[in-house]
Amino acid sequence: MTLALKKRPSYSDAEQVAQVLAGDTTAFTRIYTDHHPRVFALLTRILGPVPDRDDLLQESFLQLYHALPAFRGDSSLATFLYRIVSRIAVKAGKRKRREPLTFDSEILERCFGDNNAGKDAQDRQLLEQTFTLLLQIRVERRIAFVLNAVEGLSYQEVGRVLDIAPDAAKQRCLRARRDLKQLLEKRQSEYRAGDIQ
Amino acid sequence: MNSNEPTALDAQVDNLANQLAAVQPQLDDLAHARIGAALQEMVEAGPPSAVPMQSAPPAKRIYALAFALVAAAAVVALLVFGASEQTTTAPSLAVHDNAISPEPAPPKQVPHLEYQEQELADGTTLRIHDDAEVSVKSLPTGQRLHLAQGTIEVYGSHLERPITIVVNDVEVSFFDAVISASVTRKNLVITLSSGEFSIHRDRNTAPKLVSAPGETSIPIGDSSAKRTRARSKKGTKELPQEPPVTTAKTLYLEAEVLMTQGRSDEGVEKLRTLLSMFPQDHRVDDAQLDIARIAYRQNDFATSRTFLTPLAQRATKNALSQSAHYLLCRVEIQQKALGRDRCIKSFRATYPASHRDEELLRVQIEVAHKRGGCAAAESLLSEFSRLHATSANAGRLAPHLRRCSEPERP
Repeated sequence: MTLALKKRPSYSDAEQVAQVLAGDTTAFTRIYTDHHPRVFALLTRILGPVPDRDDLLQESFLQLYHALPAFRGDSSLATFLYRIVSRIAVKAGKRKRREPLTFDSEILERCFGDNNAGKDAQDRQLLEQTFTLLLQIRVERRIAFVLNAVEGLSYQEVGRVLDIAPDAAKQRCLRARRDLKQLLEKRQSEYRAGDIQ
Repeated sequence: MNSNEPTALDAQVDNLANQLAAVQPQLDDLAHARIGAALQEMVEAGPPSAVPMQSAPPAKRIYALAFALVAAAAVVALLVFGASEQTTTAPSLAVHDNAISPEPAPPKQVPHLEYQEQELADGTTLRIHDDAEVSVKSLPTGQRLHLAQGTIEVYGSHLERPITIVVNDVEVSFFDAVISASVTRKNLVITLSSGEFSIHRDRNTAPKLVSAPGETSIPIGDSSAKRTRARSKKGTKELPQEPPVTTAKTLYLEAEVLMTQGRSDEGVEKLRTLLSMFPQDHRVDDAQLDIARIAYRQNDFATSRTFLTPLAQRATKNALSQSAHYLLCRVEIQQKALGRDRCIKSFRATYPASHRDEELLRVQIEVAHKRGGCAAAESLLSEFSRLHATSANAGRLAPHLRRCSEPERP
């Protein structure tokens, strides 16, 4: 059995932005529909499964809408949006540093998306450990790491998103990796010590 | 060993990245609907204003400049007023958070006027009088205007999140109002032209709702008096307290404000009071749905189900009963309850044109596929193909499609 999935008409970023600026009310909805899953995933990967991600998602698109007149087409709309999301995530991340780290099992389960049927408690525990490690590193480094190692952006693209030089972006990514390695090492040594005792 | 050679720890870091890449979170449908409505309202208000940004300097420099300006203003404020908190001198506006544009335009030189107007992130117009000292903080829960002195006017209409004017220990919040706020030595004077606002003093006191146009004088705390070093020994003169009038409307609005501020438990308390005091009021259904939504978010599925079941089963079908029925199905899905399939079927039969049909049908397909394989899911997949082939969820069914498209092995 096969399904024929029809394709929607595709517009370039510049065309979509022009439509929004011309007052086409459906154009921005299309942008939201196309980009919100990635933005929501990015916010989750950077900030962890915190409950206010939906507020941050909304804030991202509100800011995007008002920033669209400034879109010059030098980069893709996704990069432009990532810039906004990164700034929002930095502020949220700094605010959250003061909050205790807790994980809601239901939200954690929803992190696996629709294919969570095969995921069990062990998977959730593993993901919780991953976030516990990741959320210990500085949010600026965390964002650089997520953009580079998870989203697959080059150092140049990471630099463009974070409004820093490619070298600085590379430096942040490497520092994030170093921080993570130190945390992993620390966790392993604690685990070994616990085993011996 | 070469220091550049990947170590076991490097592999573990890569593994972490892979685990994060597998994170594909689903936006809660209620949040999805809320965001969609907010964006729709924003878009319908008109296209964003086109500001020429080609010559805008890089954001880094802008922030450095803005930081320098704010720092200089703070130093001046400290010198002039001896203030202990960061404020800006009049007339000025310091936006602390959430700049609207990723490439903001440089601050303009504002000519000396009696007032200046600023448009906030949510489209609210803020008019700052010459004598005003105000700072703006944009938070996910709403905009907070810290007014230290002088007069501001705010025009907010049908806001998704509240505007809160903060003067010492007094907070004035509204979603839809045209008001002017003035700080005198002892009072905050609010002049309401249209709409309504609520006054909060502290968390232990119930908020007071004001909807009558006119002037309301609210005594403020001591900090401004301390700053001007003109505090009277007698202290501020309190206005006689009016006995609070509790109506279903005030309770519901207060609950809404509390919930928007993230104080869900207090909001639910208000809603429960509404249910017990005014069981015949037309807001009862909304209150029940709100309680159920909050309970759902807090994983209190039993409470959620208790409030949703009567709403979902009511004879008169409307948007509210549809939302309740849908949320009830979400509760069943979250709990992986046996009734989820029945609930979905019933919802789809009752509301065949609902925009939620697509999502529920997708869940139904997944459940059927898990239970009975391709044979069980086939008719549902065909139905999905017929009804929602171009939808955003179509891609999510790809794994099932792939499995069902492969020829069966002997």
